[in-house]
Amino acid sequence: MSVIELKNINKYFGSGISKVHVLKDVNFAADRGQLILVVGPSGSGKSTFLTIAGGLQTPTSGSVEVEGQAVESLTKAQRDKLRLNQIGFVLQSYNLVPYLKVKEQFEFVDKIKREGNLDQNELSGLLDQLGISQLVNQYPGELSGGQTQRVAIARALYANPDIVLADEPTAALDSEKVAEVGRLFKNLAGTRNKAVVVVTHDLRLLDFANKTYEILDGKISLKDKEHVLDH
Amino acid sequence: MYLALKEIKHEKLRYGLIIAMVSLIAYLIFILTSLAFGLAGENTQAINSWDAKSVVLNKDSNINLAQSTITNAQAKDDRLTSKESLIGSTPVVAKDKSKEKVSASFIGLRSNQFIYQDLKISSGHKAKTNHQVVVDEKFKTEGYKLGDKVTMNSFDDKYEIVGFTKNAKLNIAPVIYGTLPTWKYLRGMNNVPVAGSAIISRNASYNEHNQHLKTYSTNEFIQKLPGYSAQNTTFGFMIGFLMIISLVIIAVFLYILTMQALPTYAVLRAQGIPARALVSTITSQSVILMAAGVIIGGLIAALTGWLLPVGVPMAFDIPVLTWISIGLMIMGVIGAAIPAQKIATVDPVSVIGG
Ligand SMILES: Nc1ncnc2c1ncn2[C@@H]1O[C@H](COP(=O)(O)OP(=O)(O)OP(=O)(O)O)[C@@H](O)[C@H]1O
Ligand SMILES: [Mg+2]
Repeated sequence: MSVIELKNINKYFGSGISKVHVLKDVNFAADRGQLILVVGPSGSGKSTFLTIAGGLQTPTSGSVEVEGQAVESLTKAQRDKLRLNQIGFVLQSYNLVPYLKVKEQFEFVDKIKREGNLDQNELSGLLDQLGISQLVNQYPGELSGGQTQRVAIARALYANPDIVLADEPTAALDSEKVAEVGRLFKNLAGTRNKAVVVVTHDLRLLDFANKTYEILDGKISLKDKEHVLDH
Repeated sequence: MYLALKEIKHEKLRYGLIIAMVSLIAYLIFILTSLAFGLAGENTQAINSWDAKSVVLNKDSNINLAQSTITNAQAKDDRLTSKESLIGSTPVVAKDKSKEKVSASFIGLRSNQFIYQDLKISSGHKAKTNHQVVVDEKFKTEGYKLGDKVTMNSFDDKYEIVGFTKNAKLNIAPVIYGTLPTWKYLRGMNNVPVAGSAIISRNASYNEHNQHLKTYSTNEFIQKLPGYSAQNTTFGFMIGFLMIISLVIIAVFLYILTMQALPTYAVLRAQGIPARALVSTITSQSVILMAAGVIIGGLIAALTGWLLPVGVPMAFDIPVLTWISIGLMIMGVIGAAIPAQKIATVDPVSVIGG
């Protein structure tokens, strides 16, 4: 069964003459154990797609189901809970709380979500894998763009979500780190049985994906990786 | 609470400055309040020490002790019981050649009535003749001592200080207790058939028996003391205004910080952190800032009270100051309301994309 399913999603922004049709009849499903890449040029609707999939935005029409629950039927508080417990977001920017040290970013998750987070061993394994173990006592302001992004990934994975939704998680990373993150995501999907959806125009991740979709002009389609256009 | 404390700890300078500001305001409020209470006390100390419930004055005196006279005939009508004392009051300037002049309230008493009988002497003894007086301890701080002989106004007669008494102030002037004949003499009314200025009664429902006299409650009498209500209104207004200033400062400060941190709050909301947790962060920060300001302001105020010369009329009324502190905390909670509303309604999507 798919853990995330989008059916006939349409999303419009604005109204009247400035009305734009950003997502057009989008059908999409992600299963556990899969790393799915969604690529597309800037402005094609990737972030919009991801926020709708994560229940942050409501589509103009169509339905979103997360683990069998119709998101539109949930209350605000239930949606908060869904995002807190089931979904790990890695966003394009501002992921970290500026006045918390790296290790405190995780501590804070413990304060809000008291159970089901990674234990100390799993966390240090994750930090090692991402190459950020030595940064635990730093503040976000003291990190490079790439380090920040890797800490943000760790932060999203710390709550041990079933679903990981990442928006441009590799934007500031060099090829070596991209490969590291690609392996990590693939590993998460493969061995820990999570559904990982990564929205990106970084084609260096293609090799790690189980499936690749492309959004063009608001339409989504499944692609062979050989046929993905270079954006 | 976790985020609240972490942020304050990380942004020491910012929060330090705002705490400094709140401290100064809290300090000002504490000092003004204590001053207000101190001055109010110096207006009413003597009356309070008499334990009086009502005051009988001449009907035409406009409830002003200095303007009131009671004639012998009127006093005779009012048969006084053990709960009444006839007093004669007049402002005087007391002096001893080598010492500072002291503006004082002279109050003439009758030795068989309760004010004289119950007068508490801190040193020396009560006045026994027309040329003896008991004075407020304020005179001590001005360098006067037992046995000193003072003159009053422009008369040449000398009056010996035979006793000191505590807490005897009326309308911010220290009291000189003497006899009614001395009062008459000082007023230049030796040949006029007046008995005194007022009848002080411990009977709340005392009824005057003469149509030219009127009984007022002690409270009414105090409110009409010259300058008393005006002073209290002024202080009340200043203190209230400072409360509002503290509210505005904390609200503006938190608002600016919140607007700057809105993207972070949006991400936290996207990550599923409940709005309630974030709202409680900003609210507890506000209360922490206020509490820190109140504590520091309170400590400086206590230090000031301790260092200030005795002459400055300050009365630290702990229950009142506690209520003011609670009031400031409430201002903190109110001040956090607008930022809290911003945080609660932030749209997580606003920071996604780019
Ligand atoms: N809140 C909004 N109001 C109006 N238009 C919006 C809004 N959000 C997105 N859009 C528009 O929808 C389109 C898709 O935006 P989206 O952020 O999903 O693109 P994207 O594929 O993530 O781009 P990028 O690769 O640059 O991040 C853009 O044309 C954008 O201007
Ligand atoms: Mg985007």
